[in-house]
Amino acid sequence: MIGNRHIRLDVVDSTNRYARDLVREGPPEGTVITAQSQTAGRGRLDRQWLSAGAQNILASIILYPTRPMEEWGGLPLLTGLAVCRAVRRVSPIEPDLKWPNDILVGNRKLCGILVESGRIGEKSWVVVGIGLNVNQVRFDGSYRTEPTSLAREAGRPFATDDVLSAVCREMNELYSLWKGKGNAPVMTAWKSASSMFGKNVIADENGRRTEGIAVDLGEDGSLCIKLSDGSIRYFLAGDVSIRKES
Amino acid sequence: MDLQFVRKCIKIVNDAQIAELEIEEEGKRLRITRTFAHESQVISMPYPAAQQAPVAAAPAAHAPASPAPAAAAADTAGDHHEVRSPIVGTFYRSSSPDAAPYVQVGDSIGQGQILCIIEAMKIMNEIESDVAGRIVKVLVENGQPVEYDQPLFLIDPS
Repeated sequence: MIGNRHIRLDVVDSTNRYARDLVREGPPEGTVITAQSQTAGRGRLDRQWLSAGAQNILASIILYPTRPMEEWGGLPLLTGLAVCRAVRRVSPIEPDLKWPNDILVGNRKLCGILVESGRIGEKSWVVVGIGLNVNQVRFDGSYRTEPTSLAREAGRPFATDDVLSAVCREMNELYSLWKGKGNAPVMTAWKSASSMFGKNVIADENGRRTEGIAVDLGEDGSLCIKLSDGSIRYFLAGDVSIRKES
Repeated sequence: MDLQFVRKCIKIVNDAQIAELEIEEEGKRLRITRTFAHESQVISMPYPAAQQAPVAAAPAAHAPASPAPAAAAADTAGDHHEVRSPIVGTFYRSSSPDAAPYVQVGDSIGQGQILCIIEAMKIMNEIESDVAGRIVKVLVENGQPVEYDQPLFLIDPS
């Protein structure tokens, strides 16, 4: 069960780094590590993740997926969906999902997810890092996407432990579904929770931009885009933005 | 019959340089053939269709087109060990654009040491060396897409 074991830290460089080191000691699946603050919080490609102390959720979850690696694309998606469902459960906020794991309110970013994996001997591990802004209302500094928080959107504070419990519960449900049935049911649920389908999007793969309409998710979690010539392309990587005029 | 199993079978066919392998179990049949003249592999699963057959077929692009190139590839690898990509994704030599590469040519490495990251579906997958030795060659440029089973590093085992 996700969250059955919970390690609470005061200050750490990064909960993902802590979790990755901990994996070598063989903690049970579903172990959650949280911190009040991080000194080196980071996202994909070591992009900095800024969070004011003791106001937000900074959590890492340890998983040992046994499904084939080509299905792991479902993990970032199910994490985003779990956070989205948890936010809806504890607040009146209606967050939106943008492929693959952005959780937005309007165009503002509510949550960042960093998934890392590796192997120890024959055992595969995955660490799912979740940075969910809860009570922080002032965001100083520069951000790639304008940040927001539950408190900022709802106009009231939230108990971070309650929000984390909701995230763990939703995550547990979706991860159990994924373990049993793979990507297909997770993809279906994800599609119904996202407004991006039918919209014009730009996929940027290391500077190579492709424009088209987001039409579907592949079984592997890839984003299916229909180009202007009618052809279909599946994206497994890259940054996707939704065109404003769409 | 999952994709990992199919991939293992493709590897067996390639490694053993055999022309055809057919397996039947529990009402499913898998047949892998190697055409030595032009096309390297045709995968046929006539019973329940593989949902991701194109992914499973991906290694074909990197399989030797004929026994001759295969021999040439073996010469390039020589006694060196190849570390291959376990997934389709983007190859990164370091944890961030500003960080130093995990390994450089000439570095001595231990078994289990991280060599690179393959990013797929926003999962940063650490790829470790399965042998100890010395890095002889880095076969892929940073930031480039890689296919399943594509050689990434040549290592001189110690």
